[in-house]
Amino acid sequence: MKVSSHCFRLPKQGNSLLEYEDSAWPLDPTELDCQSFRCAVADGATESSFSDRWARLLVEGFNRQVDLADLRQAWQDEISTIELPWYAEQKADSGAYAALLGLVIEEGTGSELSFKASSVGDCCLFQIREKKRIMTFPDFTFESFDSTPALLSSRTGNSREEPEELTTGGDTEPGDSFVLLTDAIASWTLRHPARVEERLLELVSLQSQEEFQGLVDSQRNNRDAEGRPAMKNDDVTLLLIEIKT
Amino acid sequence: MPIRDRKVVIRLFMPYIAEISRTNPSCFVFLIDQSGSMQDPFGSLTGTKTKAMGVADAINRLLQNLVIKCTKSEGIRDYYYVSVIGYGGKGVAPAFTGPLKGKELVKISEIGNNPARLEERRRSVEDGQGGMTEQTFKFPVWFDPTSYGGTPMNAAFQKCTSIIVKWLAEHPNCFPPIVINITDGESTDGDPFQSAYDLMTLSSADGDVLLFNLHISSSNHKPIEFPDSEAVLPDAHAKLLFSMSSPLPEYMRTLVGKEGILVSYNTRGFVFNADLVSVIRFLDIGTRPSNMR
Repeated sequence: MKVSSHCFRLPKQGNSLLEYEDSAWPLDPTELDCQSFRCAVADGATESSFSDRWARLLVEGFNRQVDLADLRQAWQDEISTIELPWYAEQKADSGAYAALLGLVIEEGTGSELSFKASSVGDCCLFQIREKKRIMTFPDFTFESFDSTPALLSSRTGNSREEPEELTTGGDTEPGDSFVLLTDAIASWTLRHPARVEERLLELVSLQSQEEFQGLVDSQRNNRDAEGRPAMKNDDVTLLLIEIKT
Repeated sequence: MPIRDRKVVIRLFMPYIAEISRTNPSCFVFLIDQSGSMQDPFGSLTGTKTKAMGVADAINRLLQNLVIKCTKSEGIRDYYYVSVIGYGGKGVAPAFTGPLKGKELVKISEIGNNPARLEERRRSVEDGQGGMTEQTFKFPVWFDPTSYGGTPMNAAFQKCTSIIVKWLAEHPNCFPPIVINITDGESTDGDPFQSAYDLMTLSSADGDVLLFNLHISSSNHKPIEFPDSEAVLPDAHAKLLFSMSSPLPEYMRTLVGKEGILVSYNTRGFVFNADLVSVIRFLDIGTRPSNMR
């Protein structure tokens, strides 16, 4: 099968890209002819520190199929090399947290195509066929998003409980698109039930980072009567996967 | 005026949704009772701890948690400016000890980087194998126990009002300032209700100033957190402080409810012989994992 991927990303307004705490794999535009394709997005939690490193380790680990325990050890090893003041040490003791959504697309023996996806937290996956949304995973609505999701911790013993991992799977075919989103842009997409497809098609049709930035800026600045922005000011990541005919 | 006749106008329409960021920071003022009555024993926790020691622990823990809240990989982000005002026999004045002594309003990064000292303390933590183990940690101290003279709570609220009026003039769109008053409730310069009310009705475009009271008492009554009625409170001082505590904004009420506390529209930012560190946890500066401790 032939698969292409494009990642668009922006830090929270007012922050630099160095402060961006989402991650995606692959980050660079990719065109592959392969039997199996793996990709992921992760969203590091603002309230934890070193969550950018944890998000990066999670998406790279998903791609390389590394155990969570080994990823936790890798995060710990990275942090332990840094000399920290008392507050950074105590913050790091709490661990980093991130949401992770991974997607695997595979070619079967008879060239039929299937996908599997797994998710912890509030990232979201959509499947689009012939300009119609045919799958939303997890089965979120706009109301599903709050600022306190259960996320993957970089430390064992620090979480009150391991968060639930959701999984799904199904068929896919050439011409399908998959859209992987972190929470701020996912909740914007789902905000008005009647406009979800319109917004997804707007995302799928993006051609450049400049177009992406224009869309995100306009939605961050579009406020309702109470002053709430149409898109929450947060890091945003869109990973667009297309299965070529 | 009898406490039961006092009404705090609840402005439910105030949104409390302003983003707290380095470009739109908010403000915390801690008011610390340093009066002579703080030499009395503190609650039922121990026979040796005074209320002044309880206050010192409370304010140091609040500052520690606020610093950690604002800590990211690269350092402390200045989401907040902080004032710590003491009131007692020596009047009403900034209460930091150490390098910040005499400063009235400082960035949260200055607080994190300038404790008077770091004490080595020990705590029990999970060992990851189902047991517990002792761990040493650094406890920052900005404030030492102090107790002398009267309790000029009125003057303290008036001082706080002057700090916040100036802040709001410079930050009209900020998330509303939060004031935490830590006291045993025995004001000696008159009924503080009107001064407190004047403070609570200051506002930014996003909502009224939030006044929370932490009542430190010698009473053995069990701790009380975020009550919605004065009927559950043990004495007149607690009822007075409840009457001048802000109703929690909707999002804070939701978070208190998630902690297993029954809430209503009249749930107030008031705790009795309990911990107000949860207020720091409720501050919304971005995604906070529900499974984070």
